[in-house]
Amino acid sequence: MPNSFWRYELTDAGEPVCLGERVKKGTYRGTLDSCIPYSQISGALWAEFGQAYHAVGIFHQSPNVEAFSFALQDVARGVAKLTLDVAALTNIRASVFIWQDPSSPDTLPERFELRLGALRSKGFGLCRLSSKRAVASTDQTLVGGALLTRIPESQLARFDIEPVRPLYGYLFEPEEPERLSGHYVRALMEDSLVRGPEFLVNERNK
Amino acid sequence: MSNFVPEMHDIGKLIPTNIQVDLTEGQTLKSHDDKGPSFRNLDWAKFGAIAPTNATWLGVIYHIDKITGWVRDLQESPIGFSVSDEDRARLFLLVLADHLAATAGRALSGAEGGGVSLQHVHRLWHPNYAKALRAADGKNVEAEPINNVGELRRMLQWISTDPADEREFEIRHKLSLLCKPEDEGTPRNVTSLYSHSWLTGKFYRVLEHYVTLKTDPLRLEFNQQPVTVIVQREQERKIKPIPTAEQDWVCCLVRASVHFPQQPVRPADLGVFDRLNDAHKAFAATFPDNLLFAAGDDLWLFAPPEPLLSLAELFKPFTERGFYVTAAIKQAVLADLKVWSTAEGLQDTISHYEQQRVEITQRLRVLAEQLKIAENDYHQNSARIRQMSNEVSKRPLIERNQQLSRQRDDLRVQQTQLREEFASIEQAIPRLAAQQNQTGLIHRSYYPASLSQSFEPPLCEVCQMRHGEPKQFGKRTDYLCTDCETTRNKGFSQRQLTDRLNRELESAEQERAQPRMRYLWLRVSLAAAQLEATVVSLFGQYVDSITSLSPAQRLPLKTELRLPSLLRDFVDDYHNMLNHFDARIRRAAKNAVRLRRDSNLWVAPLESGQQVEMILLDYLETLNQFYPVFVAGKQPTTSCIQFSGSIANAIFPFFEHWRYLQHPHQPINLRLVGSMQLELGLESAAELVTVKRNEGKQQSAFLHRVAVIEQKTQSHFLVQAAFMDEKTLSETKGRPVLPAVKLYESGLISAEQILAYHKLTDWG
Repeated sequence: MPNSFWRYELTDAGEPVCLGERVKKGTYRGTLDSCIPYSQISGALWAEFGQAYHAVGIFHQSPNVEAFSFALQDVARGVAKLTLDVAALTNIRASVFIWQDPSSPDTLPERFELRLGALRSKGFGLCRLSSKRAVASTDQTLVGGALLTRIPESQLARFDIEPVRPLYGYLFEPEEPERLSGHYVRALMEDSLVRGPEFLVNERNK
Repeated sequence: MSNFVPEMHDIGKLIPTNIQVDLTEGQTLKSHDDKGPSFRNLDWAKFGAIAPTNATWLGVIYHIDKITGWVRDLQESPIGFSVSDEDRARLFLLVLADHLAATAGRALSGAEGGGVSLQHVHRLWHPNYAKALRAADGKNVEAEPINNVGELRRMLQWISTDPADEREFEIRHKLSLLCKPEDEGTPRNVTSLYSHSWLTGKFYRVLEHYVTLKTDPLRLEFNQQPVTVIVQREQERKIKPIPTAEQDWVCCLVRASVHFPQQPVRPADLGVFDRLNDAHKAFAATFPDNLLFAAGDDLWLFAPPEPLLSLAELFKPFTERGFYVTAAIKQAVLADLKVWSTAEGLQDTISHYEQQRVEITQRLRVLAEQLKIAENDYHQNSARIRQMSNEVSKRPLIERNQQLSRQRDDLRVQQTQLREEFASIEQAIPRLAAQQNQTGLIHRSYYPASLSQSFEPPLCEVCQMRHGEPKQFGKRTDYLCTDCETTRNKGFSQRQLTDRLNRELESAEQERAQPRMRYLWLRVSLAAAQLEATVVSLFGQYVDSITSLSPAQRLPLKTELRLPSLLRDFVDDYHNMLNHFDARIRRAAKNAVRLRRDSNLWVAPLESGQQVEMILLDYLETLNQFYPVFVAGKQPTTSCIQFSGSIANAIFPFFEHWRYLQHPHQPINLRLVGSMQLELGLESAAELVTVKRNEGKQQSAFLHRVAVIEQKTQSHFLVQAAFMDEKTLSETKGRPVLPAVKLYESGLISAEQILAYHKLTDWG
């Protein structure tokens, strides 16, 4: 059965977005600036709607990476800790592709907001999704080139991706239905050479 | 079995043809000749040496395959020693290897640049290379390597000792080999004999390793493809052993890059560079001849196809240590292996020629119009002249007609040249398209370290590829996999650097303040994927500069360049440049540390921005010394060598620097983390450095003022307005315009870039 997707245009709603890399040395938190991985956007959709969605995101242009500093406080001792520097994205122009489940009715609104990435309680991550429209992978030519996002191997068929020269990494996959625990699964990273629908592949970098 | 040193096969090229030696009257020494065996008329006794009877010498005199029936005729040739089947096989493989390492393809071997023969190599990126090299070594810059009988005698006596390996040859003749072109005729004189000789040695040994010698008839078998080495005289026209092997034997040229997934968090994690070093050493020890040359973590390799050697096996020294390798592989018969072009590169060339075709068509149309007008004018004038009877009044018209006639001839010559060029482009495009189809054989592959399908959290904080276990380091707990824990416990061999970074981190933690000292993480990288295109473009410029070649001759030359030897020359110079720069960088920052020996990565503790300026200046001077064509060439070419620097205090993690340093966009890339980012071409950078070095108080005060405007308003428009205001003010007051403002006015550099450079260098 051919796969179909809901395509949304994603922009930041004035808040920076930290696409959660881990805190390093207790003082620095970096951000991913090449794509919106499956785990990030699917997790954000679950948090927003309380049900599982399978989605990936790609940037249309490189977002700005800006640095922010937080003076964290040790509440118990009432003193400031060493500053935490955070890198976060602004001026985001991206597209999100949400897999349409043929077995369940579409309940996704035309436009909505969600919080994406890390430090959501510190005023980070608010994004706006709009311009909902349907795309089917059958309407797209399957092309060879560099993958534009990160997708677990287990989800490749859902996005009609066929690996040619994979670059591997790992993404967190929560265990349903509680999503309180999970495990890391092998995933195709951006720039893996694949065959896939035009919207997920950069044909120039074959 | 005697020794065999394939690197020495072209030793005859070190001897000039005009050397005065005591031969039979009227003869000149045939030290390297494609019309017969080399050194055929040499009387060894006259040089106090015994004629060598070793296989290396056999290679020197007989490696030219144009000598018909050379292998068979060896039995009859008066070479003074018996030739074994093994020696014949060696000679056969030497010819194949020599062809693989040659610069000249079919088009190049047929081309002559007006018969010009140059004794010195013409480095495409450094036209005066040979002279500079010899002058640096205190040698006469014009002298030939072996320029008198005494030197010739010493060389011949040494050859007759049957040298054991190539090392002694290198020690004795390296400088000469570097200066001497593999071929003296233009435009073939672009590769050094040094690179050619060494690559021949490597190709030879790889082939020799996988070839089996079979007898009756004498034949060589490579990957189950036998080739008869000796053919009977009557079969000679039908069976040509060398071309047969070149059409039947398949091998691989590989350009590989080694990557590490680790994101070093603590200074000790930089030990990943030691592991990488170990991996490179293990690789070089296991596959010394497969490795043609390397630039940092980019490797160029020659390998037989599977099942003789799988690339997964070849890359094991890296993948076993947790690194992964990406590779572009061209697998083809030996005859097609020499032209290394990717499908994208060929597509770019085709697009370029298609564009040129359109331009030529337009120019031809314009020429045709001009010619028509000139012809009409000429005929009208002629008619008027015929009607006139007064000789005096005829004269200006006759002169005008002579002028028109000359103009018409010029236009016709131009038309013919353009038509020829058009025709050669018409021929080249389908040929390149056909090559593009062949380069479907260039494929990319990925060789990962062993990876599991999934694992339980937590993730290793450093490599992010395996399960991590909690490990205690002082008061801290970090989650690390076994490999990354080993690396951290072992630490980084550059203790001076890690101790310094650790001290700063500890004191920052105790004082709860950001460390004051800034560090410059610096990388001088070679964009391996762009390298080939750069060399091809430089070769194109060189061919265009040879006026004796017609446009129709130039085009096939440009598209049939064989790259391996040229790339090796380029990479050799790159290493020399890095070593030279390494010595200079310590003048500006005495505690600078090179992260690996021979690496392109440095860390320099900085006390002031002036040091950044000095380092940049040192880099520009060093680059100009080794690659002047990038900095001050007549047609400056975009440099495929890139300088990237990222400056921050010790807390800023290395992997964030690395992320920036890994993907430079311009020849010069600098950033002060959290403050500014600057990307410049080499010309702009040189101008900026000059302006800054000659900066007076007035300019400094002006730039400070503009920096404040920018900080308060965040407006690019106001920054530009401040520059324009300053110019008006200078003119009104009649004082000289500030150099920075002049530079802005020239349009080469924006106001923001001038300001960014000011911030980068004006602190501390």
